Amino acid sequence: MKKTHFYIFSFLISLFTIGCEDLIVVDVPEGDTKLVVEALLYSTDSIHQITLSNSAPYFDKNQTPRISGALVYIMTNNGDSVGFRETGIGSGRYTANFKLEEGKTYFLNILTAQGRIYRSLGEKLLRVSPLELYQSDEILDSIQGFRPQGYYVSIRTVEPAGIGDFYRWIININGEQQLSPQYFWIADDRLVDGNVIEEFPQFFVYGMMPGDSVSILQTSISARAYNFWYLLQEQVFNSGGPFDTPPGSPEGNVISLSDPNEIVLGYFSVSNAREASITVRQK
Amino acid sequence: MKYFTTLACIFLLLSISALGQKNLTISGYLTDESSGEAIIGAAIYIPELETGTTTNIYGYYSISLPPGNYTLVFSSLGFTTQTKSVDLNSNTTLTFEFEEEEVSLDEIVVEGERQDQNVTSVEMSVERLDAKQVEKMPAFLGEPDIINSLVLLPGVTNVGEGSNGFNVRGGNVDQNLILLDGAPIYNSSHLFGFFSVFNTEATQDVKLYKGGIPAEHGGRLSSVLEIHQKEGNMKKLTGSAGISSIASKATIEGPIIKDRMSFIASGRISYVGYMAKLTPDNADNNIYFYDANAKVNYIINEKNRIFLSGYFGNDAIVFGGDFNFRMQWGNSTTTFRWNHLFNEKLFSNLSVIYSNYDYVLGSTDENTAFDWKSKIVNYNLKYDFTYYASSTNNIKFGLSALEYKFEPGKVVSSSEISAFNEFQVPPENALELGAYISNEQKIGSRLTLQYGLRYSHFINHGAGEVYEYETGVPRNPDYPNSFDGKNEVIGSTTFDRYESIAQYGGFEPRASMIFLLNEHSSLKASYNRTRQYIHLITNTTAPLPINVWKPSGKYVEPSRADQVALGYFKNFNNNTFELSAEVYYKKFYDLVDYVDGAALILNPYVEQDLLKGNGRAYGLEIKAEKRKGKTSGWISYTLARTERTVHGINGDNAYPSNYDKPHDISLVVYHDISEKVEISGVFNYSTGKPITYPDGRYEFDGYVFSNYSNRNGARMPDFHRLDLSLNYWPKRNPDAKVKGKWNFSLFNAYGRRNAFSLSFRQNEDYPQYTEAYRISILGSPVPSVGYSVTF
Repeated sequence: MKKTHFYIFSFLISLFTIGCEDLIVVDVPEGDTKLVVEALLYSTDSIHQITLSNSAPYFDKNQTPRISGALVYIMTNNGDSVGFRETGIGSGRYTANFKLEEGKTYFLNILTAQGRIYRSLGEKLLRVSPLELYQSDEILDSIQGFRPQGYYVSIRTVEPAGIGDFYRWIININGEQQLSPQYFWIADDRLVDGNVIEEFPQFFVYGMMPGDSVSILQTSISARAYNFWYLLQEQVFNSGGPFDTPPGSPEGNVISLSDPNEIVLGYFSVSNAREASITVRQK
Repeated sequence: MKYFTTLACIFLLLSISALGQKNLTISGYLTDESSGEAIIGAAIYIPELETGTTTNIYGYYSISLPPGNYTLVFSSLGFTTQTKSVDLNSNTTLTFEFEEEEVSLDEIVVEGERQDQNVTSVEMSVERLDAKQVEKMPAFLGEPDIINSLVLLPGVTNVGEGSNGFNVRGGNVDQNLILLDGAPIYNSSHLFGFFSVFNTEATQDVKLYKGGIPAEHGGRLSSVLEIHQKEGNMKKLTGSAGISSIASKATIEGPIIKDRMSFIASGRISYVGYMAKLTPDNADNNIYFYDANAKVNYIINEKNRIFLSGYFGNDAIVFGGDFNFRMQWGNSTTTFRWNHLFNEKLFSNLSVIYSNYDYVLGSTDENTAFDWKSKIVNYNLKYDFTYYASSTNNIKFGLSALEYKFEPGKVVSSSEISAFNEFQVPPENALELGAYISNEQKIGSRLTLQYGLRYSHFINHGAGEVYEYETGVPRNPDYPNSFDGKNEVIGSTTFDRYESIAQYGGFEPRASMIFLLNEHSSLKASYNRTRQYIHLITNTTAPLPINVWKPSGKYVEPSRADQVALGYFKNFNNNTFELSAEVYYKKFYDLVDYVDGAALILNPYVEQDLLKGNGRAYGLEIKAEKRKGKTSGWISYTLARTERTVHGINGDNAYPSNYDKPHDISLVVYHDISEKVEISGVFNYSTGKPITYPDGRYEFDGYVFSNYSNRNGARMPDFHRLDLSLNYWPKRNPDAKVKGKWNFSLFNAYGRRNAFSLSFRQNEDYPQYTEAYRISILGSPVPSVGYSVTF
């Protein structure tokens, strides 16, 4: 629905061809520095990566500061634990080599060099279906502000029966992860439970030319993670128009045990994932 | 208990007046000689007794006096004042037609109202607009618009150019009771808010109560907007037609039986989408709206009149080509009214009203074909009485029953292979009952009181299905705005047809008073409590056509508001200038608010995403108006604040509403250059709207996100805009059969880029950089031309 709002607003603005957008300079407040946990683990990976960083002033143009020297490990509900090692001094990037298992619940633990302790809520590795990619038979014309000319690539998958599946897709075009709003794909199965999903314009990668390669990772996320991504989606789709919702800060699942009032940004998730790729052909 | 004391006092006053001397009654209807339409708010003054009355919205008046010889002075702005001598020795009916005043053509005259109404009426916090006034203002794309004009009045704001709805004295958009010939309108906008659904050609006048809401109205917290459609000319067939840059319209009216029965029919259709189609990008897309108004008015005899009026309007947006998406929404209403005089002292009006708002969204693409439908329907039966008890007491009482049907959303997959399942958010039903009594009492020649009491009762009833949550409530108050605050659904209860699910009710005291300081100035005060049982569930900056109304029920409580207002009113120079100053203070209780990331559409468990809060609004409104002469218009200044306090939002601290604009100045000027040319200009300045600024940025999964903390803690740049218009009548003389008028409008004359909002996001080329963008709805001057004829 978010996308529809977005397009309707663009359409209205183009309709009157009088609306406009320009860059301006404003003074924004500077909030407290917060810990940011980026710990998104996928079943398709064998080497998992967790990045710890801090938030920074809004108009700061540098990379945000990394948190180095922390002790990072993951525990499962049956007591196993895996330690993560920082790769490169000062990188704030911690890696470990292990396989995620469906049905298991994982917890993230962090002890910073300053002695602060953080722990995540449990995240369970849920089910996910395989998917296929296919390309359109015809080249679609461009629509300004909406799609470029070209073939589209989309997904075909079977949503498993039973309400309560949540999804996030990660789209790579020619090896590059896509970050623009039209590639922010998350969904729940409420309206499509148990059905074949194909030809959903919401899941179209437009503007593909022969030779372009597209790979899509279909991942399961928990209901809590869906809520988190949904709030990030509202930010990504914020167009400044009348259809925006008030900005909220997505609530993560990492808690400070040292200070219960401390807000920790980011999220720890384990996702069951399936990947599919396609190279676009001339048709 | 105190309410019963008040009630008892009212009845005591009633009986006292009944016991008084044997009075006789003069009553009748006042109509416009040229069209036969009722004259609303005309004054009847009896100098011998220094007393008087005014006509009601059907043009009826009644006054009781001791037997004797009197002079009756009938006056109304725009009409020749008439004086009649009456030897009152039996009940007398005096019905006559008012002659239009011989005014020079180029004068603006606000018709249908007593000249010093502003100072002498007990009503306060009331704004009126005449359709003719609206038509002379500069108009966006040349289409005169009532709601765009309303926001120029003190105390009325919106969230920005082209936004849906309006806000009155700190109230949400859903707190306005919008009545088109008595029928509630649930979405007043076309094109998402650029225009309103009210066609000025079919509109007689517009009255907005911002406070001092009389006891006969209930159901919304902040305002009542009454829009009266024209009744139709009783004398001769007339009509008009117009064409603007965005729409065409035509109206025809006339007698069916001369002086007894009249009709009016009006239609409007936009072609904005067809213009858009001219650009190749939009060739498959379309957007349009249309509406139709009709009314029939029949005077059966002296004691009985009936009216039947209707409205139907629709908006449609279509994304064609391979996108295959369409969306349609609209209101339809029907009102049947029967005015009946039981005797010359007891006037009654019976109304049967139907109102419907619905929308449908859908895709016709085979794989994703679906139709998503939603509607709110209501049936209303109202019986209102006015009892003209004596020359000093005027009692109104009545009953109302309003049955609602809410269908929040139903998805139907419209092809065999569609990926969508059938899905329905459980429908809800409710009955809203109201009863009121009020009295307008004159005490001496200076003091008038209006006091009344309304009782409203709301029953959310079956057939229906209500979800049960663990611990009995949908949200855990210890986690006010958090994912963990959602309580698990553990089952549902099914209710039979008409079985009560939840009930609420309460008294709504209303009171106003006026004290005349002298002939030209007065002090007024008012208090009102209002209750609202249905809520528009929306968390976007401006409501969307797809937002749904939700009744109070097992988990959602009604809202309440209390308002006090004080005012000073003064007229100068024989009522040429009017000055008013009002202060108000308003408290809101149990308003609905939303958790961050709330899913409000097609969500059967929407109560899990609702929060509850309070609010307040206060302000000063000053308006100076020149009503007659070659140059007329008004200037208004509002100093106001409005805020909300919600458990779970902004750390439980108060935050300003989206439409909080502390300073707001409007200047509206009309000037006649010659008999044929008139210009008008509108200037509006206001403090920028509140906005939430990010207080930091962070990197996550390749994105750079903003962290927000202080809700609406900052402000956007100030808003100002100048609009100009020129009206030209090539042949403007009263004898001309067909009169044409050209309108040239220049909206946003100096091309101000007012910020609708600021958007904070990553730079597209350097994702590392975060930037602020200003979004303007109007970025440049918008010229337009329109032409209309009347015959």
